[in-house]
Amino acid sequence: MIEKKELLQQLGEILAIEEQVLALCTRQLGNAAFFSGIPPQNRPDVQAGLEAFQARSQQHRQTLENMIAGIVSGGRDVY
Amino acid sequence: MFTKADYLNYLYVLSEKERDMMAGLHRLQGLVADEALALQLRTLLQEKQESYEGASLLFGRLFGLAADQRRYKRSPALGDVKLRNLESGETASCHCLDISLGGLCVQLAAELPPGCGWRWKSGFSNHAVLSCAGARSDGAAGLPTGGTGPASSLKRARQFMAAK
Repeated sequence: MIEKKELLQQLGEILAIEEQVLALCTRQLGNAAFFSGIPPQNRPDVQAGLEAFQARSQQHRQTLENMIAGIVSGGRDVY
Repeated sequence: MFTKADYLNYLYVLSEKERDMMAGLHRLQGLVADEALALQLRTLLQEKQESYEGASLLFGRLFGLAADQRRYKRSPALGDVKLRNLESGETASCHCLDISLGGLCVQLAAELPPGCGWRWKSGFSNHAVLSCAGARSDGAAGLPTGGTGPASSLKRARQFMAAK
């Protein structure tokens, strides 16, 4: 069992890391210099891979936000 | 222009963050009694593992890079570990983050002095002897085996994780 306050704190920490991952993906996807060291024939694969990673990360962020919102609005003190 | 070292560093930072999230989700999943919430955490953890492996594979295939330049590939091995100091008998509890043939990476509250010998016990092994190589500021500590490689422990850790 875990108290609501502790649970929210730990989920908040995980969400903060997810935000950092998303920021890292977004920054490089929009950075032409990032792709400059990749052979031209491989660039589409890298871009697609990073975009897929970013999309999954966005889904995970949404899942975490929904989880946190459900716990905040829930009437329970322990989970 | 980005160099191979830049790509390595980028992948390393991403993989460390993914690993930290997996460790946090795994820890929470063990604490939560609510079945519906535990299921959500388990599902998210599984997706994170797939995402982590997928990103590593992509970079590995395209650049011939691993997430880091360690001698042995690291495998996620999330679980509680007990350490016992071989000299003083002092014990410490920690959370295992990953394992390789070269050693363990654990996260703990107290700092381990570098160089001291420890015996560890977990759900997947109870005999390997390690020495602490040093700790990061976030509490993650590397425990290399000095190249003697606990191959059987690694095998059991993979089986342990696969069974979860």
